[in-house]
Amino acid sequence: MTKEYIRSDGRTYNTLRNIKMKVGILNNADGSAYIECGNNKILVGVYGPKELYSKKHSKPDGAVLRCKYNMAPFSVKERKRPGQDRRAIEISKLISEAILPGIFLEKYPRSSIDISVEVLEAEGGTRCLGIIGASLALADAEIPMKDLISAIAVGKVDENIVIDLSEKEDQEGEADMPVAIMPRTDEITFLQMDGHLTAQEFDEALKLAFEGCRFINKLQKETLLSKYGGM
Amino acid sequence: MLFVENKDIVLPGSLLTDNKYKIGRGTFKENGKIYSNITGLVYFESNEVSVIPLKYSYTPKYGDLIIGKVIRSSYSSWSIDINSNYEGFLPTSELYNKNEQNIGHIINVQDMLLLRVTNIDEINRVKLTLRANGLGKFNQGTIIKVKQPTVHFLSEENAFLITLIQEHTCTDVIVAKNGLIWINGIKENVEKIIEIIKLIEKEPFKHNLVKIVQNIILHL
Repeated sequence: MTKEYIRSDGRTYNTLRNIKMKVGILNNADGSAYIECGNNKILVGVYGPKELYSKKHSKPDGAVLRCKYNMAPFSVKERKRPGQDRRAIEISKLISEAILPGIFLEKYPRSSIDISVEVLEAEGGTRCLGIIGASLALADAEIPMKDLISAIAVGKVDENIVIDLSEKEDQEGEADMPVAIMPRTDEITFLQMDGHLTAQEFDEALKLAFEGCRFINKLQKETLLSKYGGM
Repeated sequence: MLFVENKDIVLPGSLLTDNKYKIGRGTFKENGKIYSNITGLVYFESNEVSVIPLKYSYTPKYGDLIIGKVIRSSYSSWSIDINSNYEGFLPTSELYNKNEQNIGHIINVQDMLLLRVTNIDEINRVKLTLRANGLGKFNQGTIIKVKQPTVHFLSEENAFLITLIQEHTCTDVIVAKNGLIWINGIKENVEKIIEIIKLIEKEPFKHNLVKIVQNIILHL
């Protein structure tokens, strides 16, 4: 692999797109976050914990985590039909499963925590940003957690392992692998892979993903601390 | 060894200490080290470490005096909104007059009640009671909602402030643990008290707040 490889948008193999994060921007939510990364714009709200009325769905030993991922009709180049589709249901499930190991759900029996991830503008990597945003919003809602969860996509484009794939690279590249970790213990909470990578390339990609996640984690911490900076 | 200083802001998963402290609120232990699990201010006491959240909601405790609103009535109980994550539960058997046939004459939906917590079980069901001295339905007065730090300020260490307010303005004030305050009196005085409470609400952790509030009350 040549480290001097310059990508189509001028980044090197380990450069992320410009990221901006904010917390506490929705008044009616218990916790909220807004993330911009390249041309992605994502809004996350957390509601709860609150009592779950449906006895059928509630659990006596812990809270139920419900996540809804939704793409706005104007978020992509061609208008998307509003409403849930197959892809949205899949991403909702994987976001909630990626952040599940980090939350102390047993502290809130019979209740539910609702997360809504709204994609206002999409340009590749929205599922990773959804996980980052959900984790930030949960911390903002002061829900007990083991750690903040960070996520990043790595992949293979033109025989090079690169980080934070854009939409174009995702479609034209050979492989795409979103990873979510808990940086304190280095536990992987979520990993998906499309395409082909050899074992050696996989190890290399995972190492790069860990580096990226640690950087994202640092940004998440700075964002949360800056909210209380005035105190 | 302490990894953060006393009264620092910590985030979920921040390493606090590896000394042998007792784990208090908002912390957890893993491999002999103590971590924080919420965003908040860390407090080290002589043998205990705890993290106090900055905007926590009310958690019911046995014996708390609370103000609740009736939101639903069913065959044998009422559901009460107690300004917490969970709803309160008031059985019909708690009524004063057991001979009353139509319970709608006594308690209706939307009524504000002064209650006490009698029991909380392991799955956080909150049982309430009406049967104690002074408990019951509010017929007059104003009720305002405040955050938990304000309630802490007014009820724990500075409870005398409420007595002072009551004496100086000839009003009745009840500070309920769940963040609702009932005020009854002449309209002007009620407005003045609400202004004082708003001042506390703005900066409940401010230095010398007791003296500032005391001065305002004495010059009313």
